[in-house]
Amino acid sequence: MSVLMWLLIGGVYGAIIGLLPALGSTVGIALALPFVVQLDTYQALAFLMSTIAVGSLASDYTSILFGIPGDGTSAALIVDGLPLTKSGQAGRALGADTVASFLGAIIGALSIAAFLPVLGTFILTFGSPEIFALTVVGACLIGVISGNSVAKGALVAALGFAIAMIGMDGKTGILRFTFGELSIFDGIPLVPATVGLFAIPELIDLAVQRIIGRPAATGRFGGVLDGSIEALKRWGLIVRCSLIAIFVGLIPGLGGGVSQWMAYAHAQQSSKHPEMFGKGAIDGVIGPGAANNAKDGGQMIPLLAFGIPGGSISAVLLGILLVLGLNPGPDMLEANADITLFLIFAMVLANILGVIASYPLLKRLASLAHVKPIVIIPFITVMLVIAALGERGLMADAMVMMAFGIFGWFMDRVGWSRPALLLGFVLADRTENSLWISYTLMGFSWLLRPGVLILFGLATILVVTIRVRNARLKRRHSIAAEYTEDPSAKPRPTYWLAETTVCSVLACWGIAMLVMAREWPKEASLFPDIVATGLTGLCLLRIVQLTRQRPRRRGAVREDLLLLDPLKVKYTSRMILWLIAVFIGVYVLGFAVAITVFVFAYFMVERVLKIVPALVVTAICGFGFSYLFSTVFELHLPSGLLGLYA
Amino acid sequence: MRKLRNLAVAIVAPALVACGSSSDTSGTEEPAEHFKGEKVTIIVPFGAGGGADVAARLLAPFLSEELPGKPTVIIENKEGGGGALAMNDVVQAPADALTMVVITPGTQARWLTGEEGHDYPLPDFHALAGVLGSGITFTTKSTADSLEDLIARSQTEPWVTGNSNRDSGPSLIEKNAAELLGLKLKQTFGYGGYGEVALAMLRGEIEGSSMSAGAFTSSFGPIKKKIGGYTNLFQQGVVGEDGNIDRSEFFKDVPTIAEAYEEVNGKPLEGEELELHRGLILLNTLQQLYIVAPKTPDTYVTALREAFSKALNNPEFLAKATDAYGGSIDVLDGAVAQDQLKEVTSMPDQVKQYIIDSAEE
Repeated sequence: MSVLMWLLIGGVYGAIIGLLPALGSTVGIALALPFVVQLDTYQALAFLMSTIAVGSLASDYTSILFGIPGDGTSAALIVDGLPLTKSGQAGRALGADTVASFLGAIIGALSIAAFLPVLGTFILTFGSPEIFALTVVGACLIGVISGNSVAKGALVAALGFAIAMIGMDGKTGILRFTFGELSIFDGIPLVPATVGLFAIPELIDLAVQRIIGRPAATGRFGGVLDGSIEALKRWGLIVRCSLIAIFVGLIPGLGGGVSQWMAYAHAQQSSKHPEMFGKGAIDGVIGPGAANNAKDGGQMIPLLAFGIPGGSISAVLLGILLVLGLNPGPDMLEANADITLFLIFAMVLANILGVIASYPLLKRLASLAHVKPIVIIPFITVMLVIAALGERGLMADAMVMMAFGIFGWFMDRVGWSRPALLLGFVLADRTENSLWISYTLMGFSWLLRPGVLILFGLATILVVTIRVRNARLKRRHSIAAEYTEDPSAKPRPTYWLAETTVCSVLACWGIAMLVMAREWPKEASLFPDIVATGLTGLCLLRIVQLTRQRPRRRGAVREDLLLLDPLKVKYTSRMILWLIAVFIGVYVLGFAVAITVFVFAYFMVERVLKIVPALVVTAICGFGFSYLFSTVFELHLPSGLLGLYA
Repeated sequence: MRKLRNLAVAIVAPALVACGSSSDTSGTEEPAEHFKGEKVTIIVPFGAGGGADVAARLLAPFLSEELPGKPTVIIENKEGGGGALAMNDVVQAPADALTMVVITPGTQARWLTGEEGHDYPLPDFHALAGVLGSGITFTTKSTADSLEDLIARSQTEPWVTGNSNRDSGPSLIEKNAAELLGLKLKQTFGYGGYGEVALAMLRGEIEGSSMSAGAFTSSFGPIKKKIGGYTNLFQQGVVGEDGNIDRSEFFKDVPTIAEAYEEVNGKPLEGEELELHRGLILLNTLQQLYIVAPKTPDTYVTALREAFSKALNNPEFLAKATDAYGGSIDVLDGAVAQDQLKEVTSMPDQVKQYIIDSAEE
């Protein structure tokens, strides 16, 4: 009975950490560690499995509703989930995601039983060369998700790789492109960057809409039921995406950051309407939704079989298992087989409970999307602040978020794929290291290993099918023409100017990378050289393409600017100023005071509420947020220059 | 609008004064008074879930119990700059004994070589307690013959090892050992952790690796059983109080590098070679060092040291931590840890140079 209780407690806890940004399952479990080790093995496992299961599910929800991923592994849900929300189909997206996650989790849990006994043989054939080949497949998938133009997709992916080059090179300890900025010695932080890319453009959109709420939900039970049924009908997709995630999760080090995007790419690639992806395709929610929960099972396999954590969550789990006196390894199939079975059982049960508990709430959650934007903007802003500062409390991370936010907004306008950027970013480290290890140990002979050949073959097939399909789509009909960009179509002059400028800057940056890398040993410079060359080349290629599309008339840019809606400009710039003000406020006044002042000021200045209700709401959320984050979750949010208590 | 601003000043100013004055008077109170109702923060310079993080999180409730006034002890993760961000936080925090940091050999080495960002006065910090590593082991597949055979073979076909990074303690010691023993070595870097190293060995991608006792147990423990075992060729050992290099409690039957040297070369390790070797070992010894900012009042330092000592030696904690470390742990009291820190920070130049040169190869 008490096991069931801990399952429930874990679920509630998981829901909270999943819904709050910067508190992914990893941090959540680490926070709970001191008390988890007091429990007996079964209670602890029940609590942990349920925290992970419900946490994964809940962090999908914030991605779909607000474009804020609860942690780095649910970002792929944003790409189609958010457009669905925008078109009044939040309920449908949430319903589909819940069912997909549930089935994915069950498949993941069952895969433990299925794969554990045979894992040894599999994993022994999968060496560094095969890992490298797998990352190449991943890179080719970028071609699928980047949609409209191969040149743009490749450019953005190269940029993702280039951004990942910033920080310390793990192999040599050499600092690459950090310019003495301590906060990026370990690389550009993933969560602030992801949240910036997706959530800030979304926030700006909301600010422009102001009082116009999203269209009301349609369909049965606010669309939740429709979405669920759709997901059930797409069971084949769910199974395939789950298997992809389990497979990627099996390989230590790739983890959830990569598998969600691979699943997304697969969903798009296998769809009859790839042109709808990014615009609200339900398959774009179902695929990564299934993958996101299935990967937890996949990651448990190397952990249980070898005591080797496949990702950050399983690293914390390993610590806890050891403290609980369990020794992951072959024992888990022999002496401790009952514990393995219990663990699978707990995972399944936790997911069932998670669905039962969340299902009635989905309609209500979905209705959040229809609230007037200006009412909800302050709360999303506070979430952004926490996503930026919750992990390390560094103002530099806030700057990363703002920079990525503005860049994400630009990408959205000129049709650069944000998923491609992120996939490049999360793949880079593994690609570099596995390539280097393969090269130093085997020269080039590994290129002929069967596993490598198979994976490279797969990559080739991917590239060819993408090209063929794009060509066919282009011929077919008009929606498709938009998807496979017509080279003769001219972009808006302003966007043309912006894209040309950014490409030029990036080309220069690529050259600068090459120059800086000259001082380092080959071990540290080889990969940046490849990436920088690619980036520069692709930028130049894009500039050539753009030159052909340049506006013919003089003053076209100025005319285009005049066409801009002055109200849009006003609200956009005001939202950006609000964000900057909040971050400066947090820096000076500290988190608690700054967000309280901000929420109140926002309500007053934007005339959302009258003074008395505004004061009440401000007091409640100012106190609530700071209590929740500083006291309950012990996050170290900045206390400000003035030293006011955070 | 102006009225509003005045109002804000009127509210904020007294609060500021109150905050300011309360921190000024600290330092004179009794420790019990001082810590009571406070939050004591241990900054961990890594993300949640790493070895030092798990250890600190396990320790927190015990420390809270032992500290006078029973303050809440919380863990703050501050990853970045190879420990520099965390160190800067402690340097900038008020010297009220409420903020401390746990550092690992990596940070000590980076300070020693003067790496970018590591310009805080490490020797001036107060050591509160230390946890010793149980010696680093050098592992190779059981198919390899004795050390002598391996050395002979390596002349034509080098011993291929794998590790995560070039500047880690185990990698440096491995390189140093190979030089001392005349073992031709080919080091590979880029693995994501010891688990991956273990897998790479299983696959035959690499032959050997060097890792701490904890990493050895957790990575090789389960595999060893399944695959049939690995040989520990030699170990780094631990520097005893007399300055000699002894075998670690954890690997009683594995010879130290110094012993292997004598065996291979027929003479004991001595002179500059010994000094460098011992320096590298020392740099690898303080696996976890809890420190507090230089200007912290002595009364608080004493109170903290006592509490750390009691908490770290609490049998209940030890039982849990030993499981987490996968080996034995050796706890150093504050004063002893301080001496160790002094030794580490006043390392001869040749050790520094060796680390710097190794990174640039």
